[in-house]
Amino acid sequence: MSYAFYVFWFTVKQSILSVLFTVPIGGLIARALVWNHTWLPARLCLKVLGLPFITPALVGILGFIALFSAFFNVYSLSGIIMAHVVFFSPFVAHYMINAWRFIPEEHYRLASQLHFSSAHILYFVELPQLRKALLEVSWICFCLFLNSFTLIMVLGGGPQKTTLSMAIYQSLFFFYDPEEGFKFGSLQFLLTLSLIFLTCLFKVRPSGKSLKTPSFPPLTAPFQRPLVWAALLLIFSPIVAVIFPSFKAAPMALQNPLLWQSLGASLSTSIWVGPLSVLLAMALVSTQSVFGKPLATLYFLLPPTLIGTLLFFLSLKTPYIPSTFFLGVMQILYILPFSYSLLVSPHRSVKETYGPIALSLGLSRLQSFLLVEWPLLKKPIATALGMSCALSIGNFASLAFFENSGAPGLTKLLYEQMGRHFNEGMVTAFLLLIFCYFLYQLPQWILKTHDRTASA
Amino acid sequence: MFRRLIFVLCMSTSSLYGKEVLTVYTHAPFISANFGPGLPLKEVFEKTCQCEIEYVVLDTVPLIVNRLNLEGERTKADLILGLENIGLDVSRIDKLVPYASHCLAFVYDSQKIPHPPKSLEELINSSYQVILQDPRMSITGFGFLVWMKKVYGDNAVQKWKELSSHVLTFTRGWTEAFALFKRGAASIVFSYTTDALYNELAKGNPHIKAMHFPEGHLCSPLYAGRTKATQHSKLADQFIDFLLTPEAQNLIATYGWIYPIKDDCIPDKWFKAENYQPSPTGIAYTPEEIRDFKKAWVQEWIDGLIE
Repeated sequence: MSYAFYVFWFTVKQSILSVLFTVPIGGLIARALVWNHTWLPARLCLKVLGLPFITPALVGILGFIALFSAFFNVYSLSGIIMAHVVFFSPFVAHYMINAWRFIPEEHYRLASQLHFSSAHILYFVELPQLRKALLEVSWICFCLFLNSFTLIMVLGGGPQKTTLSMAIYQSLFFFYDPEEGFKFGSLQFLLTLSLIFLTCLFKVRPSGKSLKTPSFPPLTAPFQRPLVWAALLLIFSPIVAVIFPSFKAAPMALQNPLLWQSLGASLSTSIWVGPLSVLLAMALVSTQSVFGKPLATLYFLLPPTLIGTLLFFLSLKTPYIPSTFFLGVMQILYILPFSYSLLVSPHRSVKETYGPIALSLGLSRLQSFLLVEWPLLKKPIATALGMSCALSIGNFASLAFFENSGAPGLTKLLYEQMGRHFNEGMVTAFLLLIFCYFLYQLPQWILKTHDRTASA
Repeated sequence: MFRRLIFVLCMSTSSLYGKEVLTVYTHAPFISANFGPGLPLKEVFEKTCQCEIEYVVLDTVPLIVNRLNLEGERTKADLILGLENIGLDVSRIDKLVPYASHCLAFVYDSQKIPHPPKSLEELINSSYQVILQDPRMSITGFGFLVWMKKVYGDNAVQKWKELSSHVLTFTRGWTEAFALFKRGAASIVFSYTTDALYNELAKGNPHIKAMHFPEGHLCSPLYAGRTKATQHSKLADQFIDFLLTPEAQNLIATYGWIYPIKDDCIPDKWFKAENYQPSPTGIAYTPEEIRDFKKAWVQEWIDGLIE
């Protein structure tokens, strides 16, 4: 078996195995949350399901290693799968809860009149309704795991545990073998093309979050409550595992000038990348561009290494363009699908509700934006802006490909420290975490948005 | 015209009044905040000459060589220190002088492993988790690849497979591997014989010991290499001669934790240490055969592991 084929096979294998564990666990968590949605811990859990999403992947992985390395070899296939489960089952749960909203309440009432057990309800009522969403989320996870970069870079290693993404990166940056990099890059390109083709064939389109308040069935199932605790543990334990040890190492690590330079570098990038991504997303949304719809699927289809490699070769051909430019482009390409998806459905509903009135009043585009859209879209825009800045500062792949001018950037520094000075890395991770959450909240504070719609 | 002449004269003689700068490319173990002979050597040498040593520190030896070859004629480097002639392209270096040596070894925590394997064979057959380096990226890791090949020949692939069942991971470099070991991720790491000495004398951890195998270890000289492109070859030679003086040899051993090339320069405190063992028998190899077979051996290693 050739090495390239093995790497391809390993990429697919780890992805399939990760899906097989992540989706059922995420699904069960979603069910436990829906069934206990009035219970306080479950309400808290519903609120924080999105947290792993804005938490920088490297911080999560650091916490994961700190937690689990005492119990088993985390630098192995099982470590990779376990890490995928920890970071992605909240995502699956989040996705599935949205799908649960579409199950009519009457079905549950009828089921309880017929004295269905919980297992019967699952089999006869829920599964048929959720099948499509389950398949969709499995496919999305499969693609995400195939393209997994940061996680594999940390937990993989050696020829046996190399995925396509890692092989590309290693050839370019560690072995200085652009030919090999090109070979693996082409393989990844083919894989991505076939994924896009299959996505179109299966008509997978991530369902947008419905705006209406969820009408969950009035159920209580105390026996499912341990799952809610498990979900809370999955979400918080990697973060807590980073925070506490960092206090001890802080006095030393905070004196490292490189830490502050990196923070400066990361902040100065995210300050322009975040707003620019939201502006671009807003432009795509308001012009109802044809690129919009496919764009929303790119977050799971386009591997960061493929973008990175293309931009890297481009940067070699154009030495007069500073690497910060490519860094920004790579981050924007990564962030855009998310900010687009956050803005598209609020914008659509505003347009549908108030568009005709604005038109009949003869408002110009600007007036209509200032008087009608802005007050209603302020909150989603603030969320999108916060998320874009947070994703920018927490992104590792772009920094792995393009050096910031002068300092490495926080995630790159953290990656180096994870290998060398683990405890110092904890402090960097904590700092990264603080700034990530701070940047996420900042626009919402500035724009003074309150959660008036209060959706779940 | 006269003014211009004076200006040109000033320019051409300024180096007589300013200090001559010797640019040295070296790797992190040679010079860091609390480790490495780089700073003490600089201090002593600069007292003997009207010159200044400027270190450019890169992570690993292969990185230094890559950078040197990439810079070609334009390189600022006059001298390379810490160089190992093992599978590296040293065509841009015209003089290699060994000034120290080190030997590879498995280092273990004797509190966790009271009865360590006594030979390479025993280690391979054991079930202890081992941290290794990826030979494609790390010179330490490549050293072990050569070691295996030299001991087992055509059988090496089979032995790699047996070993890989209890390899914790292949790290990018030695630093990452040792950091993992220090965190207790595994109780054996592939490293150097003198690590045990360093951990006992400098860190107060005598339980970190090196395994000494009777069949021999892979040892390699550390060279000072004068670059072909140097403009300061005299000063470079002077520094190389200095490295071989007893004073410098003692500094190299004391701060660098590597064997000096002259046996009588071994620091006295080494002999008193519990973990001191003289430099083990070296496994014979030639730089030429390694250069010729490097690619094939690495490929064989990859194919063996993924089979």
